[in-house]
Amino acid sequence: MTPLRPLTADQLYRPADIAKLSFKSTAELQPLDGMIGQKRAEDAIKFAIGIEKPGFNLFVIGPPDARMQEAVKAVLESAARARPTPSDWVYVNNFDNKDKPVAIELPAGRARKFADAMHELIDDLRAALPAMFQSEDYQTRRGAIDETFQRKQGEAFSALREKAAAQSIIIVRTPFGFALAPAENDQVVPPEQFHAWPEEKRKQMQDAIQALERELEHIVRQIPQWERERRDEIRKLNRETAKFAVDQQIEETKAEFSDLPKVIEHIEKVRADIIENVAAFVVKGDEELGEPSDEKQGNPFDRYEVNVLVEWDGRTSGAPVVEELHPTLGNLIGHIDYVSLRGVLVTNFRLIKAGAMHRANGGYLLLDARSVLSEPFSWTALKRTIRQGEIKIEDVSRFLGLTSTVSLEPDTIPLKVKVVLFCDRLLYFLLAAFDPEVSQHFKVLADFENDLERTPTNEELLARFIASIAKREGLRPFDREAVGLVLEHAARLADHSSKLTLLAEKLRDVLTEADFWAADVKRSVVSRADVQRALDARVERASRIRDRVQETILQEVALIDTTGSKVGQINGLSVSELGGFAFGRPTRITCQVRPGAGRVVDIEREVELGGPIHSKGVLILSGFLAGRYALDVPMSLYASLVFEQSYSGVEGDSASSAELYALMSALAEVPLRQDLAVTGSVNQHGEVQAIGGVNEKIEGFFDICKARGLTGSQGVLIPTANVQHLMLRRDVVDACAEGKFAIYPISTINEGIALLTGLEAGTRGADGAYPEGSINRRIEDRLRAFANIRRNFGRASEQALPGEQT
Amino acid sequence: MTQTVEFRRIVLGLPYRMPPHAMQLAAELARLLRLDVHGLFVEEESLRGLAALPFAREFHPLGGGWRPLEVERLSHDLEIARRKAEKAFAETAKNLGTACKFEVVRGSMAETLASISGMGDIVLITEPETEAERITAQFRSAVEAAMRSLAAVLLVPPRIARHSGVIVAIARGGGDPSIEVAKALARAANTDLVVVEGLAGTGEGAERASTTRQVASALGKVHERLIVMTRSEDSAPSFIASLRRVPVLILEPEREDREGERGAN
Repeated sequence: MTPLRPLTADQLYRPADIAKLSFKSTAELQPLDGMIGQKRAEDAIKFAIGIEKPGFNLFVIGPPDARMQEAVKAVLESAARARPTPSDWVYVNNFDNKDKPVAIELPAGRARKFADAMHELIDDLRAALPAMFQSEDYQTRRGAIDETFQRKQGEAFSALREKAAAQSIIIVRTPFGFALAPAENDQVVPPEQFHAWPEEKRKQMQDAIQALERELEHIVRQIPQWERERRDEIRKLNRETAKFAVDQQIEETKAEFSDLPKVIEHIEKVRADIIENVAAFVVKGDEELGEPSDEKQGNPFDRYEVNVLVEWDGRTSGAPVVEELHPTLGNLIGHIDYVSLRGVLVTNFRLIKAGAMHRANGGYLLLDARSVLSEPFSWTALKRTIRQGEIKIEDVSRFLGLTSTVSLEPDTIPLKVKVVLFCDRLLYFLLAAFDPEVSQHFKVLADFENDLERTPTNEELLARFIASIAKREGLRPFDREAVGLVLEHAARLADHSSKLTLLAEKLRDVLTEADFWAADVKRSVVSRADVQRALDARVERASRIRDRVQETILQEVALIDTTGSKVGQINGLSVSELGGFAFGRPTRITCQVRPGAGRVVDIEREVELGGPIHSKGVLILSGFLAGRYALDVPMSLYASLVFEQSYSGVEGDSASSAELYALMSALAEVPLRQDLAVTGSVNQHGEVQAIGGVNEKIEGFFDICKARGLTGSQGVLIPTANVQHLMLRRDVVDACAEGKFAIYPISTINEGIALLTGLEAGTRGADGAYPEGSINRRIEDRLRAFANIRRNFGRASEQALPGEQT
Repeated sequence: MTQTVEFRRIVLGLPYRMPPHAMQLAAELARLLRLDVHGLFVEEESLRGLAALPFAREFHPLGGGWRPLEVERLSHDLEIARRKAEKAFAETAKNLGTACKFEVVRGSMAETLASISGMGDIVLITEPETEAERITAQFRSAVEAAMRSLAAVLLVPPRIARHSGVIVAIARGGGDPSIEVAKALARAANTDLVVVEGLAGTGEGAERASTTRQVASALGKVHERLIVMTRSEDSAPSFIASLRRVPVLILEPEREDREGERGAN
């Protein structure tokens, strides 16, 4: 048997090739804009930017720490600079239907000018119109109209009075009307005197009064008509007077916007409205000038103002890149505010507020998909807006029935925006599976890589990326050795010695902390020691639970042997991740066997502490045994496997090889070395397969051994496929280099069992039997013995049942 | 010689329909000058006589048309009008801080005003809103009676342009009593005084039009709340009140002579 050789130190940790880094510190490096190692995602983003068709919005997915928003935003901002600046948008009053404000598009930078011009126009008219209406000319003309009317009335009534007086009749006021009475000396003739008159005189008087009554009625009935005529005359005068003042100002305002037909159309409507409602400008409450303005509009002059919804400074060019961090419905598509007026909520076009869609229109809108989905109505509104290609502001409180007040229905605004959504992969896959509209509206997927190949070129690139972060975050420059350690940490974060992580957020954290420690020792350039201190401090801060777990093992509360050998007992390895910090720990796995019906019992599964993948791993063991041993007899084994002192769920199949070793040991009745720990999954053919968290697992067992004192025989069996992932801690590497600890790459169960037992596993000879004394032979013999026991047991049972002997 | 006028009382001849602004104006003036207020509601006896005639009818302009004038209903209508006037008067008098009296008199408004008002009184006459009211016997006789009395007359237009502003005196010369009265009013109201002196022209027709133009031109953009002027034998004050839409306080030009004359009679 050829002894298995442990891995050499250079296989346990791949240092950065700092000799190939051609700088002394990152201050010399050209910062790297945009993305690195994301060609697939970059191509997707460029494609999405280039294609103008509907639905080709972008969905960016990747690991949460990849800082995708930052990277994509930089690319978009670069593209946006080459695009035209979008239009300004304003809302103005709709003079035909004030509940439906009118949206007007203006070239960039003109909205504010339009608003200012309208404000100035109204200010000027507020000064000019009262003066016009107080002018002597107006007052004279107005007085003439009043006088004409009064004269007309006066003449009619005077004529009536004179005609009455000529017939000794007077007109008297009663509490609620008028009456005609016979008179003498302007006094009503008393009834006794009237009755004393001759009948003919009485009759004459009565007839005269009746005739005058008809005339009085005729005159009174004419009064409303005269009044209408007077009002019409005054209204005409007011219009003429107002028009004279308004026209000049309006024309001056129009001249500035003559190239914008919708603006001109609006100004014309303003002109007509001012002339019709000149009362607001002149004397409040003067009923002759017209009705006062609608209170719902607030200040009567507000209706002429311009609500600048979106404006772009004419001096800056390019399309907008807007990131909305709080995408409520209102923040997304805009909203309508209300004000309380005498206890009633009212609104008007000036209270329409822009949303991110408005601000991003003509450019790019960046949204976090999880945030959009978390806000009521936002996801639906986003899809609807994209589908319809226009922004329609809707009042969420009306959806919910919170308000029944009259709201506005502003004009919709055409939408031409590229929406970019960000989220992690799981959410995207779930969303894509459950919402078919995702593929309709987000046709371009940019999937960010977690890492990139660790080549000298890429190390150089990452060094520049580190320089970029340092510059952007205002950190000290990093010297070459410090960058080297960051690169090595990037490989550890990637869980692969030949890869570099692209999780920028995690790198940024390390760089920031290293800068802090450099400042602590007053270093102007961050050194490798500062980076190492940052890494150690991060572990130290997060490792309380790890330390407590190790303490329980060292105090033999949790039983883990690191010396000697035992039958059916082995050290498995597991990884726990809490709050982003992962650590490994050894776990004792034991196995008991006896004759039975061919079943391997996973105790974790029986008590529902084992997850499905773990259970699958155990079931594979049955397949392995059935395929390898005693092919000519029925499997007559009952075996139970357990993770000792495990009180919580167990998941994953990385302990399946350890479980198999324990089972084989129990069957062969050969002890296993307790100074070794094992990780790796196994298939039915006995091949050991790769697992995750290999570095943490090794370090977890190493820490226990180191605390008890390294013996030189201790070590860990790992799958050969995991050797490439090794980026072990310096103290582990050093111990291995000094022969105090060992890492063994294992490809097959035979290799592993041989190392763990010191006995050859054995292969079948020409006779089909395993060599005498080998592990496999012992196991096969034990299984045959179990089968015999079971067979004999069956016969004895039949003989014990006389009724069945006939 | 400049005379000092001291008013003691406002006499309010309450017509059947008293516009609220006239009542408000009376209260303002009473408050400013610390005047007593005497409200007079006159139940016209002649109306009852007229109602006794078999053919007597009254016309209701606001859609009512003609209906017989009956004694019983007239009494009822007069009672309603009295209650309304008394209520409005009580509202006005409330919190005024001066002596207020509401009196119901049977007779005619003209005779009542003539008998009750004298030197130191201001008789408030509200210009009718319609020409129909203007030609009624009651209004004409009430105005004549007030103008004949020794009391000052406050002529209130149907609509008032403003309740704040300066006090204007339209004076025939430096000794015109309107100046002193306007000055006292301006002081009390804590506002400015504007004196328009030497305004000539009274009478009818062209002369009246000339007066109107002079007043309009003289006052220009002045925002006055009240005009004070001395009495003339024409309708100029009424015309100015109508033109400027502000109350006009008409004073007796030569009080002592008139008082003597009245006493002699």
